Amino acid sequence: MKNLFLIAVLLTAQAALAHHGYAAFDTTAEVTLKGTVTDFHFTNPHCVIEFDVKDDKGQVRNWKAELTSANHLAPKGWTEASVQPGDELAITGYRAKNGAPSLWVNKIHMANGEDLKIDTSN
Amino acid sequence: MHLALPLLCGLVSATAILAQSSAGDEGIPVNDPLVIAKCGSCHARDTRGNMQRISWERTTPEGWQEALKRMILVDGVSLTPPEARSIVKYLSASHGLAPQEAQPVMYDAERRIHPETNIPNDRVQHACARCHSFARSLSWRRSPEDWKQLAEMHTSRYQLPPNQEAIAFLSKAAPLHTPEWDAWSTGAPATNLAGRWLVTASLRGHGIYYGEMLVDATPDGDFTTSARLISVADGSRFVRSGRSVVYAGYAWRGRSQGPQIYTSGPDDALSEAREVLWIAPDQSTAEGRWFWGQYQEFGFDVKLRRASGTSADPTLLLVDRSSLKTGSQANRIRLIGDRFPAGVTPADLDLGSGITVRRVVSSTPSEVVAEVDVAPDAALGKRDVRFHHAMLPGAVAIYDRVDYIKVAPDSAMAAFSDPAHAPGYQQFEAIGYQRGPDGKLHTADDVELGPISPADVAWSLEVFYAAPGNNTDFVGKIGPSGFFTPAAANPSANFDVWVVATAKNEMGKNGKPLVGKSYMVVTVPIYTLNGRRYIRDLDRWVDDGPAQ
Repeated sequence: MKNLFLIAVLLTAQAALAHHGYAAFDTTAEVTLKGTVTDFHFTNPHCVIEFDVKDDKGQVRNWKAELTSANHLAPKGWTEASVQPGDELAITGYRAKNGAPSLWVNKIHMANGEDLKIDTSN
Repeated sequence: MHLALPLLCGLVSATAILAQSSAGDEGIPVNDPLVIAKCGSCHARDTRGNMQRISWERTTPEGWQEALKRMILVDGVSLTPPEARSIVKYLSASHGLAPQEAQPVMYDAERRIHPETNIPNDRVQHACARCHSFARSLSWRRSPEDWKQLAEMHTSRYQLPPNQEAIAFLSKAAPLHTPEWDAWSTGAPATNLAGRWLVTASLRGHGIYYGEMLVDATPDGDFTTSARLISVADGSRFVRSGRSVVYAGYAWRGRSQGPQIYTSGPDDALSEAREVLWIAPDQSTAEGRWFWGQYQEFGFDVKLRRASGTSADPTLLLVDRSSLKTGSQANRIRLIGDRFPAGVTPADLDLGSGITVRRVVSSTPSEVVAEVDVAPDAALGKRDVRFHHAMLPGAVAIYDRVDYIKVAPDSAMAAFSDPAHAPGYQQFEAIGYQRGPDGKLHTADDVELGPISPADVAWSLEVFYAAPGNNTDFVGKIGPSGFFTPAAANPSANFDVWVVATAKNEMGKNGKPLVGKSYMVVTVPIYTLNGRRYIRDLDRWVDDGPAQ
């Protein structure tokens, strides 16, 4: 997407909620969450999967899993229908440092046993 | 061109000519005396009229304008504005793109944010689209040798490693010689656009306008325009006057504005606008964008159709409703067009099976108002609308329910302001969709139902990683019409924000209101990276030397 490429290289963000690429995530440890897709945004500068995850106490929390851009994923065969509401999946990635229910995606494992081909670059 | 180091340039260009000649690609001669006089001292001209580099390149008016700016700013070329305009006009015609070549990259000249999903792989993306749009690369046609030289320039100037894959891709995807250019450069019709054109113009947040534009040729080959437009939504009327240049027989570039300075806000429909249109090769239609704003964020999506001259046949321009619900009765629709006859009857209209034209309420030469019933079992999907032999393909969608909504644009940018830059705004709309024949959501056969009325949508903002319900005023505010205004204070940071549209009357299968989201980045006016500044007004990096 025109101009949005810039976001990945911006070094000015300081505020806790600013656009910050990897810096927002704890890249020292991966977590895996299993859940049900509620929405998928095939867009720039990041694609985002929204999915419901049930915790140990049965409480459902909606998480947002960020991927690279649609421009990067499209050549790998992704479309806005690649992930559908209702899909069961397991997402492995880095959690947001501030505790927000957000992940940076490293791996997506679908219920049919397949792993979606992704690009982990920001 | 008039440079300080003509001897060095001459040596370089002589070497380059030998290299390009040996590559086997026949150059495109340059015969314009002004180009030869101004560019010839560096770009040496051979006995066949080929000028170094120039003869092995073709591009859009914007491409040649950018090249000239670079020569003026970096290489010290001296040109008067009329000389520069003349050179761009000549090169755009003699070393331009065919209309079919320009059409896929028009979004760049039209200053649209456009998802570039046509980049073949990450390596080509890295070489071509990290610092500018991919369309900028594909706006050029070059010989393999010239693509190689461009890559070498990028290597020396921007310290990008040579990328043979990108050179090979571009040499194949954007070659100097193509059948399209061969046909256009030898057989383009004379540019004859004077006359009356019918206009539809859609402005996000304002709806659709229609009317006519009168085009007159000037003695110097340009065109003046007067466009009289009427709002479908509220019937308000205004006139925009302008002046345009047409490059290469099809590339319309102009400016227009309303009769007074805008008063109702930055998205005022009377604002002075740049006009970029693509004129079809047969000169019967044109389409493009009239745009304005600090970041060209506002604009009419424009379609022109030449009025039918002396023909008595009616023309259909638009239908004021983009969707009708199954089982609905007495839906009032307006067909807007030209040369509707007197005494229109229901039999004159055809919206396909399952839709009955109950009565014609009124008709004028430019508008027919009718009431239609939609059968409960009418087939879902897009319908053509016909009036006699005139037809609007897919003008009306028949639907049983709204399955989901999207927010347009689905990704967007807005910008904080500083003393040198006005804010960058964004206007959003909620668009209804229905599952298509495959019954699945978000697939290619889904049917767009048109914008949902602002009165039926609640807008809100969510800042990424913030707790739900957090105050979002520090990034800006979104009004009830979906218009986003960034916060007055520039925090010198960028924020990812969901722009959320919640339908008031349309529910999902789960009984909850339908929700659509757009991904907006609210950002700073100026970027700085390794000492280089990115000027978004210019859509390019401004640097005093290579990046470190």
